[in-house]
Amino acid sequence: MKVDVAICGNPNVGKTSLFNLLTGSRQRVGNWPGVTVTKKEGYKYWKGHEIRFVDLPGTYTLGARSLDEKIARDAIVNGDEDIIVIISDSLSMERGLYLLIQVLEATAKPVIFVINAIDEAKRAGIVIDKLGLERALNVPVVFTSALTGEGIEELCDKILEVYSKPSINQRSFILRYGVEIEEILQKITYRISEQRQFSEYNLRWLAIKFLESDPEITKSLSNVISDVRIPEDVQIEISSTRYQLVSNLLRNFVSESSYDVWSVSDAIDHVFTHKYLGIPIFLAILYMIFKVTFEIAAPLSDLIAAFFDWLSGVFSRLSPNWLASLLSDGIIGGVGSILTFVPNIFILFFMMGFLEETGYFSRAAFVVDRLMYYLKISGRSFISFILGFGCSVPAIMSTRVMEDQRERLVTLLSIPFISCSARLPVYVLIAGTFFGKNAGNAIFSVYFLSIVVTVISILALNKLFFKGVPSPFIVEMPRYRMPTAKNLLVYMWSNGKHFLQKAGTIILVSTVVIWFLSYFPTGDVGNSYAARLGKFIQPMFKVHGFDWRVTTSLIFGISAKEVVVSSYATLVGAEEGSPSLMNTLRSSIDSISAFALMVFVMAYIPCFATLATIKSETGSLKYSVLSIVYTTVVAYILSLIVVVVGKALIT
Amino acid sequence: MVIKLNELPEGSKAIIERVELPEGLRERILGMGFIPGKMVEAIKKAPLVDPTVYKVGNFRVSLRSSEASKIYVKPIGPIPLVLCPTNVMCRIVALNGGRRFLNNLKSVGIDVGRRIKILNNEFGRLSMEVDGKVYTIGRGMASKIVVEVLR
Repeated sequence: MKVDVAICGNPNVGKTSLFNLLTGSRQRVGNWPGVTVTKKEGYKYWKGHEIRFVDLPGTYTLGARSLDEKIARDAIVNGDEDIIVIISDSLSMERGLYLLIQVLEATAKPVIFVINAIDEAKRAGIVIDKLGLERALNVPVVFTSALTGEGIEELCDKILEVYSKPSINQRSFILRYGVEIEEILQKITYRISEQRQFSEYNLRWLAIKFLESDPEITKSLSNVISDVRIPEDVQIEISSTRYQLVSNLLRNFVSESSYDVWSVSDAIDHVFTHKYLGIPIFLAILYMIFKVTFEIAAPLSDLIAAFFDWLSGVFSRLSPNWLASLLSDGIIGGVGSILTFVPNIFILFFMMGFLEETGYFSRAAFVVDRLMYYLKISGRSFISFILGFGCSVPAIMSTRVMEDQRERLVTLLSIPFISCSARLPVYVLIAGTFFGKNAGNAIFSVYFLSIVVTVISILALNKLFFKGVPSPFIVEMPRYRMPTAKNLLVYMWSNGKHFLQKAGTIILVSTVVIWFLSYFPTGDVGNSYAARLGKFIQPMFKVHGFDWRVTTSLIFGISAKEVVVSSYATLVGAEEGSPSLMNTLRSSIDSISAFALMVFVMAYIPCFATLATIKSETGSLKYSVLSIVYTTVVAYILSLIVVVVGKALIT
Repeated sequence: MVIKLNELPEGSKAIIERVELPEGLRERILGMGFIPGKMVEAIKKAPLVDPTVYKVGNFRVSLRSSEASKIYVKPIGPIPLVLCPTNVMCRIVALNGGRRFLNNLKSVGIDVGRRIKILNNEFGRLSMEVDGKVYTIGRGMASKIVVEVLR
């Protein structure tokens, strides 16, 4: 028997922890069709049956005002899942019950109500009358704890029981909204029932959503119901009625806690969001993430890189030459470049998991939100941008924790402008060659420019793509919680695996393509297709003063930015870092062009790894292509400005 | 007496009166429990003053003042004088601020327990009547005088 289950719940109720506990590592992370929202699926084999779980985005309402809500609602109303599991936090059951009521109104599918974090409720002395709730709502109730693992088996049993015995699903749940609203609902339901295209929907639910002026449903119903007068404040009336039922349920079946469950959280918050300490603590944590992600991971990455260098050395002795080159430079080089990211990414996700599971992420966003306010994004993106100084790949992956998809896209497309560490060797070579004592200042000004360009990019993308969309910052502050090791490991593994699977293949393929371009037709780089391409585009950079070797190196730089230096060295036939390399560079371009080159390298096409990550994170090639075009245009214009202004200043 | 939620001082409670957010946001806010008639408490402002964490039910939400200013509430208990409407009789319940400021107030007879009424609150100045005498102070000072409305 195979059962499909949708897991639905408010954000921050431990939904993901429970999902991890249910499915372990049998997870698949992907995207919902056509959108950037992450979709997680997993399996559990239980008593000879297969239960497939899909983790719906966290939501408070079924209003479908945001992408997350829309996905959750579509899955509940139109999805193929057999059973819907609603997860509620035991200490804030108010919102959980509110969501449950909405789901019960929307669908006739069997629903199981899970009250999670039951261990915390027990500690707080809260007693929940399970049977009473079950009877009042006509819905099975299960207590679970993602921390202790309590109730997981019971939940699986319940799922199989509900699936195999449809009789117990025959629930009747109708919430009455008062005479005035009921009259209007009746009128609307009658009108809709005359239309055949709505026959598969719950008509009462459509009518309620119409009254709540749900944009989608209003649109499809507006020509059917044009003359029904909707009284003012009907939305508030509907919400109040639901909350009225919620408070009745709570009063009858849930006891008060014996102490303030927030006292510990409030004490921690007193420090972490303190007027004076809050920001320094945030910066310290940020520094720690940055340090650990890039420095602790560095020896591991170096080890992996060294291993692959050795391996490619072994294979380079093979014959024929092209095969040796394909294996050592193309494939082993490609696999090596993917694997060197692994320590960074796994460590990053371990820490992101920790910050998210503990609840600090919401505080971090809260503390710096004001800084990002004018950029029309929230504090959450701040962390991603800072990570971008290390490497764009983990920075882009870290945007996964953002709830607002519009903000996530803007952040994701702007991160490549943040000057990552791979670009530093290029700056060091150029600045060292041309600016002598002022090399430091030159590099600093490129970094500064990179921040300015990022800020402008955020503003421009917001204006261009998301005109008129409000960007509210409504974030729940969950209680602080101690994450379990298992949870963190699953979090790290499922997110890291996603990178290896999705981005890995693209990186490998593109490395081989670049190898092909650099090797064929003659086996000599100077005459390769890549060099021909470099010569072909060189006229576009004539104003900039770049020769064909520079433009060819820039093409190679698409595979990884630091490659610009080594390919330039190969093209001029000098050792990296040798004086002759600097001399050749000095003779081929002047100092204004040199600075323009630094600026160009700062802004142009993100590396393959980044492009692959953008594709895997957004689930669409569209955004990678957009990123290529967008960054190249910006880079071209910026470096052109540098040249023009530089020349004007000198004369 | 109704004020905007973002004006509610840290640590004060209020009853929600109206939610005037645009439709999409309103549904979300209502779903989070910001429903007319419910109690809301301003828990804490962010280090850079905005946003603020509010408590509704057993639930904490951070709102920017741009959103909070569209939610109207009726404060429970004392509020700063500066938020008080005109011509409403109030009683002073606390005086905040430095020693000199307190001494100045006390020297003219403004002290805890006195009855106070705002006559005019415009252009950053505020004129008030205390025991039949009229005083004019700035908004800064008026925010340090905490009053409760007398019915």
